[in-house]
Amino acid sequence: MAARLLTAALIGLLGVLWLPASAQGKPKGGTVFAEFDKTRPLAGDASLRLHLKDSEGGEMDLRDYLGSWVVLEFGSYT
Amino acid sequence: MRQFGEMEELQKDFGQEVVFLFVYTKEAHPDDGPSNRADASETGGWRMKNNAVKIDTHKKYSDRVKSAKELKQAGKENWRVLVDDMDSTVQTAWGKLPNSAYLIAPTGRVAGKWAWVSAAPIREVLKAQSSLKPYTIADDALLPLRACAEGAWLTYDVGGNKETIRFENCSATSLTRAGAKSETIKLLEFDSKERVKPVSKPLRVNGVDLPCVVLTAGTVQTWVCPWLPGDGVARVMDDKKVLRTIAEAGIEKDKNLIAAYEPEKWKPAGK
Repeated sequence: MAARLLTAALIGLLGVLWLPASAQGKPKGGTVFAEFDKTRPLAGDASLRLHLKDSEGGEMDLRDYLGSWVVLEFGSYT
Repeated sequence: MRQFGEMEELQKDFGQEVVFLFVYTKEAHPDDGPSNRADASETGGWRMKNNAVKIDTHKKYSDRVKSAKELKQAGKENWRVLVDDMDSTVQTAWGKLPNSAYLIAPTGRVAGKWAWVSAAPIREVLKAQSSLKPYTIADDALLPLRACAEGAWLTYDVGGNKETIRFENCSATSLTRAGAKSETIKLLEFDSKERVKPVSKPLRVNGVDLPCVVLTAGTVQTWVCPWLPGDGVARVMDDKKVLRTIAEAGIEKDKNLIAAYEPEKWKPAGK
């Protein structure tokens, strides 16, 4: 009986782990999230062009920082 | 609302040597957005009822700049906060996600990428490096080539004639430069402990000031501008006489990147 219960619990746990992301309450846009790791630039690729102005109006190109390690975060305040 | 913490700690720990950039793009939770997540666009953009920060969808570029300034003051004081254009061109090109992160190596190549930003794996990579000290083109003249993108091109004015160079088969170890004379260039690993103070000058091309590093060997001056693709050579002079100077440059075929960048002049589609 205990073995059966343990087996059932294990099957249940595996079932939860294999649920699609949407069913686990992950953010909508799962496809975009899934594609992210397969979309260029990948690790080892040359960076894409990134030419923007900063919050003070200064112009910047990512290539300004060739020779430096760069941490690049995307986001917003909200 | 954005939670400040681990990424700002990372900046405090490594900010002396590592560059920290934040690309401010469209609001993840605009106060005028749909209240139901299911009604949001593919990459987010729904209203969070109890969000302490209330910002509506940016209608114009200056709205986005204002929000970027507020974010910087609130917790990103020591970061360079960049403002994506109103088409979110940069966010789209780099994977579309609302809060992703990349780590870029000094060679301009991607060292890591994360769909949701997290400081721990970035810290791990940085701690594993023997040195994080920045260097420039003055130390490593091959540096621009290490970030080579296939298809990049440069067109020069050589004594009144146009000459175009294209870059092919770019990799971390070699690339091919095709043009007047085709050649394959091997990229040996750079490992200098010395750091040279670069001589920096701007070069005005088509009304745009390109930041350059001037390398001098005997009477020959070579101006290398990192903004340009390929080897970034913008001007070659011998004994003060200009031998060649950049006219146009691009990453995609026939699309010139030397143009004034004016995102503030954005107009909504159809207007």
